[in-house]
Amino acid sequence: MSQKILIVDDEEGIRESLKLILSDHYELILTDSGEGALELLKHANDVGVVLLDIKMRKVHGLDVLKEIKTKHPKINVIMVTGYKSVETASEAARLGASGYIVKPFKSEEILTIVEKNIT
Amino acid sequence: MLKLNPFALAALFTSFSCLWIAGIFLIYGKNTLHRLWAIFNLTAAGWAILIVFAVSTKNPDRALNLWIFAHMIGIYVPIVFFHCASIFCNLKAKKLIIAAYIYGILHNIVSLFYVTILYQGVTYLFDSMYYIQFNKANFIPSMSLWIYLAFYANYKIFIFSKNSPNKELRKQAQFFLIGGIIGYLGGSSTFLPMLGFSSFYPLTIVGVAFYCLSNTYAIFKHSFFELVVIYKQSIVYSILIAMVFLFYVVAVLVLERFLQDFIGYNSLSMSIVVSFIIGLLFVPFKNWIQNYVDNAFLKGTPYQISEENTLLRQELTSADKLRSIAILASSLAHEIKNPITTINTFADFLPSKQNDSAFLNKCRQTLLHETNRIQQLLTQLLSFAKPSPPVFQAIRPQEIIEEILLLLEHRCDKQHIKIIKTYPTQELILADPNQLKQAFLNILLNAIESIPQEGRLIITTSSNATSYFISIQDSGIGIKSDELKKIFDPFFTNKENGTGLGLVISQEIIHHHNGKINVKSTPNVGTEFIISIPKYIKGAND
Repeated sequence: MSQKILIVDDEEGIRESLKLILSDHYELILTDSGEGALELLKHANDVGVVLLDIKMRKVHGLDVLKEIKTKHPKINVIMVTGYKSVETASEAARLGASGYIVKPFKSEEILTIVEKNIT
Repeated sequence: MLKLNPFALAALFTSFSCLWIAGIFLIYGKNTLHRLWAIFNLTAAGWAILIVFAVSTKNPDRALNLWIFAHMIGIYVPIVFFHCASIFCNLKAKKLIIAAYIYGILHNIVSLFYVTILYQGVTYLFDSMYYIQFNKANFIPSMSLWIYLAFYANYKIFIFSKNSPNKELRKQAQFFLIGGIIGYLGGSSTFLPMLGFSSFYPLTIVGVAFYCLSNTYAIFKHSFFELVVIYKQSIVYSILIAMVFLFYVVAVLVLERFLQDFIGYNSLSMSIVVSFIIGLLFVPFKNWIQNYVDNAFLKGTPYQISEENTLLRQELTSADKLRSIAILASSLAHEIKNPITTINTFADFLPSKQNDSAFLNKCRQTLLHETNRIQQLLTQLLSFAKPSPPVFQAIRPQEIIEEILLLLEHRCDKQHIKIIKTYPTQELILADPNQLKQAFLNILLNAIESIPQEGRLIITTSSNATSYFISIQDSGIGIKSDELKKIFDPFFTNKENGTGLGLVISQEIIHHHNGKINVKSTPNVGTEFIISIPKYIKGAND
C-alpha cells in the first residue's frame, strides 16, 4: 500500500510548490490549517508523512506536531519553516519531528527527506 | 564698621577666593586629598581675613595681636600645601610632613609666648595701617622651614608635571604648580613691608586670588585632583565675573594710589572716570567671559548646545524609528521567504514542463500572485519607513472620516454594512490630513473586513477639555483576548491577504499626533477602536 503525504500550510504558494515537487511521485492530501490536518488524520489511516508549516495564522505548527505525535505516533512529521532558529529546531526534535526544512527550499531537498521518511 | 583701605580690600577678596575653593572641595570632595585641599584653602582664607582686620584697626596693640594670629594660621599654609603635594605626587615624605606640623606647632607656641623672638612690633605704614615688623635677625632661622617647604613642594610638583606618565595628571600638576607659584609670590610679598621695605604697598596679595582663579579653571576644565563637580553654568559665570570684577576694582585702586602718589588728583572726578570706564567695559567683558566659559567648560554657547540637543533628539527619534524599521525589515525578510520559495519552485519546473499548458497557466498565475505580494509588502514597508514630513493644520476629524467613507461606500453596500455616524463635536485638532487619512483607513478597512456578512459600523466623535475622541465600532468577529495584545505587532494578521502592517502604521501616525489608540474587543460581538488626539486650542498650539 503506497502511503500518502499530508501537506499542511496556510500559504497557497507553498502548498502549490510542494504539490509540484511531490505529485509525480506520491499521492498527496493538502490542507491549509492545523485543525484541518488533525481532522483529516482522524479518517485517513494511510498517511505516512506530514509536511507541516511552523508559522501558521491560527494554530502553531509545533502544537499541531505535538498533537499528531500523541495521536498518531507512527506518522513521520517533517517541519517546514522560514525561521532558522536553533530553539525551534531542537523543540521540534524534542516533540518528535523527523526532519526540519528551511524555506526557501530546493526540490531535491524535499524529495530526499520525504523518501527517507516514507515507510 | 570697618573702613577698608585698598590692601584690606585686596586681602578680603583673597580670603573670599580661598573660601570659594574650600567650599567646592568641601561640597564635592571625595577623598583625603580633597579634604586636605579644602583645609589648605581655609588656612589661607583665615590668614587673609585676619590681615583684613589687622590692617583696618586703629589700635596698634590689637593690630599686633591680629597680625600674630594671622601668621599663626599662615604658618600652616606651606605645611598643608606640602602635605597635599606629597599625596598628589606620591611622595614618600611622612617624616618631613610630621616634622613640618611639629614646626607649625612650635612656631605657634613661640608666637604666643615669645613674641619678641619673631616680631619687633607694628609700625604705621602708608598713612593708613599698622603693619607688623619681623625681627629681621631671626627671620631666616625662624622662617627657614616655611621657605624650604614652599620651594620644595613646588619643585616636586614641577618634577611630577614633567615625569608623570598620565597626561591628565601632568596637566593638573601644571595648574597646581602655576597656582602655587603665583599664590606664594602673592602671599609672601606681604612679608616685604615687614622686613623694612616700607615703600612696597603689598596689593600683590591678590596673587593668592589669582591662584584661586587658576584653581577654579583647573577644577572645571581638568577635574583638578580628580574632583568631579556637577555645576550650574550660571554659577560658574557669576563667580568668574564677580572675581574678575573685584580684581578690576583692585587694579583701579592701585592706579588711584599710583596717581595719588605721583600726580595728585581729585578723588571724586577720578572715581567717576573709573566708574565710567568700568561701565563701558563691563558688558563686553561679561559677554567675553561667558563665551569663554561656554567654550572652555561646556564646549559651546547655550545656543550651540540647544541646537546640538535638538539634533540629539532628532537622532534619538530616528534611532527609535530605525529600531521599528529593523523589526519590520526582519519580519519582512521572513514574510518574503514564502513567495521566494514558490517562485523558485515554479521556475525550477519550467524547463521540464514547458509543454504542459495547464502548468504554464498555473505558473503564470502563481508567479504574478507572489510578485504582487512582495510588491504589496514593500509598498507598505516603505510607507512606514519613509513617511512624508507631516504638514500640520487645524482640521475637523469627521471631515477626514467622511472622505474615507466615500471611498468605502461601495464596499459597505456590497457587504450590507450599515454605517451609523454621530459627530456632535465640531472642534478642531492639529493634524496632517494625509497621514490621518491613512491611519483611519487602515482601522476602517479592518473593521469592514471583520464583518462576515451584514453588520454595523458605528462612528462617534466626542471631546473633553483637552482631547478629541473618535470611536470606530464594528459588529465583526472580534479579536480573542490573547491576540488583542498582538494586533499592533508588525506582520500580525488574521486575514488571508493581510500584511499585518496596517495597524502598526495607524498607531505610528496617531503617536506622531501625540495621540493614543486603544482597542476593546469581544469575540463574535465586535471591536471598538478609540483614538484620542489633543484638541487644537487657538494660541496654545501655535
